Amino acid sequence: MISISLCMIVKDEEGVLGQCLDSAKELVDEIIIVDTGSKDKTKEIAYRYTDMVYDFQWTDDFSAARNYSFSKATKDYIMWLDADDIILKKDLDQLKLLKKQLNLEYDVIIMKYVVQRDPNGQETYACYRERLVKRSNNFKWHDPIHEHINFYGKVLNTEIAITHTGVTRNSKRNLSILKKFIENSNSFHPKYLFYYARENNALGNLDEAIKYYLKFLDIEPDIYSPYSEACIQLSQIYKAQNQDKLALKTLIRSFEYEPVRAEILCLIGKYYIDKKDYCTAIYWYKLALSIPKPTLSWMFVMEEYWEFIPYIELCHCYYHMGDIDLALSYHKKAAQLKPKHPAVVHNQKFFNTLAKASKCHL
Amino acid sequence: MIVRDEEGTLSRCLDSVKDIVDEIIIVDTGSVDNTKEIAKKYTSKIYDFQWIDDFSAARNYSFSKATKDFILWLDADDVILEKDRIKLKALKEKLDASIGMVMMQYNLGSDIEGKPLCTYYRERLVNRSLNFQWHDPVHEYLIPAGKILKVDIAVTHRKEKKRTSRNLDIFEKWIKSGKELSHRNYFYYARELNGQKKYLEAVKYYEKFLAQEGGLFSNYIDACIDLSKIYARLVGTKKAVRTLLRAFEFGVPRAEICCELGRLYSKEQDYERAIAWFQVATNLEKPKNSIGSVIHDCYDYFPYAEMSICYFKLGNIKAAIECNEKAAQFKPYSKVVQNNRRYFNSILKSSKEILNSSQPQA
Repeated sequence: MISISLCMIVKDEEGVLGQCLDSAKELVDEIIIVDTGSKDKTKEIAYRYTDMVYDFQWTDDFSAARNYSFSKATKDYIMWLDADDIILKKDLDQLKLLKKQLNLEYDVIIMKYVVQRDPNGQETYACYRERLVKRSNNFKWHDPIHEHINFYGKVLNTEIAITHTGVTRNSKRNLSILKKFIENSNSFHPKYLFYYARENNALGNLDEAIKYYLKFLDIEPDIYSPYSEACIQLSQIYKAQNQDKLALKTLIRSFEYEPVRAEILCLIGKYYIDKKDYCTAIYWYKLALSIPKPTLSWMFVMEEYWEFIPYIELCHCYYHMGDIDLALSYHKKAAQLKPKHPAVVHNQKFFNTLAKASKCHL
Repeated sequence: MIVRDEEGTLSRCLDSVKDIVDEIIIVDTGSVDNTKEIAKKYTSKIYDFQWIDDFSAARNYSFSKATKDFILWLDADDVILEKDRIKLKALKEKLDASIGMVMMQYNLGSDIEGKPLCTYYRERLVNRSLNFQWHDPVHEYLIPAGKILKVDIAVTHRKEKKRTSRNLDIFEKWIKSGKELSHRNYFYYARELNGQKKYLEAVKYYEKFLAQEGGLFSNYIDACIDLSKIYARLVGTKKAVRTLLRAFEFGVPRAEICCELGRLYSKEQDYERAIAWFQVATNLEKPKNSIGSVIHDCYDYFPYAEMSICYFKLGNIKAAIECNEKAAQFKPYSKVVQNNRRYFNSILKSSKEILNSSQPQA
């Protein structure tokens, strides 16, 4: 069995750090906490779990802090988490099993990162990340923000999930780091233009957001470019500005580089629903259902768009086209996936009334 | 019918319809072959009409001579096959005066088993009392009126003559005389220019057509395909891809477009992208109730046959064989499928032999 160091960087995490460490402590053999300037009780909480708590002066550079935390590790493998991440029970069980079976053969273990779950705990937004790395390889973090490990060697892909619980994003802080980075660095991955656009979007600086989304989209992408994500976000800005056709063109633009994705297909379907062209919308949602969901994709996957949303919308479309039977059959498929989802509950009530009304006629 | 130098096909056409119709009207626009002699064997109602570069004028003249309840129109290189003759006779028995216009399928080309390659619907049989008039000098059409009936009876086009610049000449005279081209004629004019290899002029009119909404959906699809082929030749693959993707702005996703995208990527040796688009083509439902043209092979045979080649190029013989067999399900008699089957099997056999011979001997 291998041993694991958990390396974390923290700042003012008193609200979440305890639950994170509680969920991970049984798995790891040492815990290293690097504090970048907390003013709350973060460090006190950390000391309840470990003596290896270090201070590191914040220099607007996530990689520098993370590399410092990695430098303190002494075990076979290093795992990293954010304070607002947790490991759910089922994933912890899988991780314990994996730990028992691992030998030093693998250099990197990839895990799922579930950014969002619905109220029933089902994944709605996920991607994959390098999560556990062999210490002897001396892997380094790169880039001041949206940092990543430039890993190499033998990779083990897993479906084990780390779950993100945080909801707030510090867009203002991120924006200033990104701005400095873009202005001062002469070689950065084009995806930073996307990150910069996204933070501007979150802060409501729409003109700046549009400008940088477009800049990003004009650069030939590679596999690390969140091309479809940029198209979706930009199209949503256009839609909010009532530029429907431009929103549609922007969604379609994603097909230039990325394979057809259910997220995009559903949003195109929505364009036709908004135009009340249900007949056309149906083809787009059915296509979304026919595409196999990518596994182990570096890109985000918005889970609901691959099955649940098409079912709900097909129910909606067929109802408007007067085909109640088909509408009901898609409602049932949606209900099977998420019985408590508000849209399902609403539709169930509706179909119940419909059934009652038709009995009255008899 | 309007005819000119049709001695090669006219009797084939009239033989297939003479016992169904109650009178035959032939308008000759200047034949110098035996067309009129052939026509005389079937009817005495043969009229001369001076050709004035206007198909509508000639057809309207032919309609003006009709005396029966309904008018059927055909071109001399059309034919009604036996199964359609039976259906047409049955339709005639029950057709009543409440119907204004009957739409029939139009079949273009056929595969080795006689299945049509491309089909669409046309106004074919019209109620004479509604006084239908033809519009536009080429690619003439009737404006729908009255109750419309769509039937699964087909007229089959069996072209024998070579393509000429006749239509292009008509358009050019039309423009020279100072007349404006209609939006739909931008498309037909572009097609004629393209057919005569006047690519730059064709681009101009395809673009003019695409820039304006309100045209026939299938014309937009065809325009994107034609234009992308020109761009692939003159500008580059990227522009060609973007042009094909524009087709998705007009309505339902079509396999004809997905196949073209697959072919473009396949030519660029980007086989993974090619496979992704061919896969989408096989996932798409054939449009129901489409009046516009449908190229049937794009929904099954083509994409499977093409995917087979792509997988072969990627070195995945097993998937190549699977796709070839899928293609075979749709066209068992295809020479391509049979040759590829033989070829793949020979590769498998020789690789097995190599494997066997390299095994250590006991």
